[in-house]
Amino acid sequence: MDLLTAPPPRMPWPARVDPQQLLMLLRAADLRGRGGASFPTATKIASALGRRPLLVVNACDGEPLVAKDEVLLRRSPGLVADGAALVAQAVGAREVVLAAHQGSAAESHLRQLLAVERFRWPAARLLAVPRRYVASEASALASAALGGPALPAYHERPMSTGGTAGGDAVLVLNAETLAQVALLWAGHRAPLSRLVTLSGALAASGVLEVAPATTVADLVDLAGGPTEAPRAVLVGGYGGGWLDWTTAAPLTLDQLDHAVGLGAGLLHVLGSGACPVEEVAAITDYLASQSAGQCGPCMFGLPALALDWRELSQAPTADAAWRRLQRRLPLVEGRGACRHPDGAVRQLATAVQTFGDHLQQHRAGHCDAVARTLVGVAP
Amino acid sequence: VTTGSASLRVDPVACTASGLCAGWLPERIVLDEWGYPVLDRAPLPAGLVRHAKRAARECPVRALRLAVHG
Repeated sequence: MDLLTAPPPRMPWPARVDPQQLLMLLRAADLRGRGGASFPTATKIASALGRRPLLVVNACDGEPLVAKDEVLLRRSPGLVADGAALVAQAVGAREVVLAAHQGSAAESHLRQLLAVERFRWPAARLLAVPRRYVASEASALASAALGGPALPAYHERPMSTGGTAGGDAVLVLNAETLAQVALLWAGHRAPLSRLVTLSGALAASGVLEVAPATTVADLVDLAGGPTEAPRAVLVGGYGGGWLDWTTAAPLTLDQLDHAVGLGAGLLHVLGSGACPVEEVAAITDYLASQSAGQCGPCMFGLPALALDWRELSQAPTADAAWRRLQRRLPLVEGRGACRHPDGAVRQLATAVQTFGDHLQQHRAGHCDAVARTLVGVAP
Repeated sequence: VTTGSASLRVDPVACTASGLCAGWLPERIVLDEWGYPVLDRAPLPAGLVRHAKRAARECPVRALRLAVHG
């Protein structure tokens, strides 16, 4: 494919970049951000034109199970560098900020890139952020790039247009998105490939580059096949969406994107030996623990939702928990400075839809994953 | 009677759940179970703009904003 195994030759430099020509290419290919939010890249870049923004290259792989930015930087650092150079030139960026988690492999790849590529960028530096889930969220990176804490920040206007607290314009683009920009500039055309991180009950987990017409079943085969009968898949990331295996298997990545959103490109396979009640509880607890604790609906709402999920699986508390979830899920969504609570809500809401039968088993004191009667639960 | 020119926003990071805004503008603001405001973000009818401005002014941390369009 193009990103990982056969990248085009490096772009000649200096390059003269006509912003409108670049935007036209991105629009024609309908390139959308690969960091999770899937926002149209051309629209974001166009909004920063003439504002001398900081260009932040997000190579954080903020989703704990996702490793695509790191793999991309290891295999094709030149593509990310070319994409960053193109966009920096097109928008007249005043500085390029390369962002990764502290102590990560991506951080050392970026350090090398900085040493070799500096001459293509107006000015450039490395930004290492803490290994917290929300530290790599776009507004948190922008805050850190401007010298503040790596915490999500509220803004009423887009950051790319100067909506940050101090009025600076900050354009945050994911590393894979920038690599796709470089590919399009080099003459590649849609359909664009995707980097997918496969994890869970698979013989060979890892990052693959695939065409958008690839089905979930094909992907699982490409990852060496399942190690046990698949029960469900989590798509996008921890803040993504669950689908049961029968529904997901025949879907192409494009269809999956429509159904639940591809997010940061995670495909996590839950095997029949794993208990979805426990798995969803662990993920929801984790997401609650990763709240920055800044916004009320997130810092109080996520722990409340995590408790509701546990109570939903126990007969005496299930009905009340169901009513609370129906009220709280829509209430928590969309009320944070960042999208962290929205992701937690999506994961839990799709879990409720997907694992209804399994929840019912638990209420009856049984769990087919562990094939035994649950201790301490009245049948 | 809708002016279509102003709507409510809250800065959720700044908000400390004083609850005062819901007291000043119960027509458009209710409090969730943790005391944080849930806003109706539709454009404010002209008759409510004065009350909305008061609610914004009374917020002890100035987290409530009146976004004015066009």
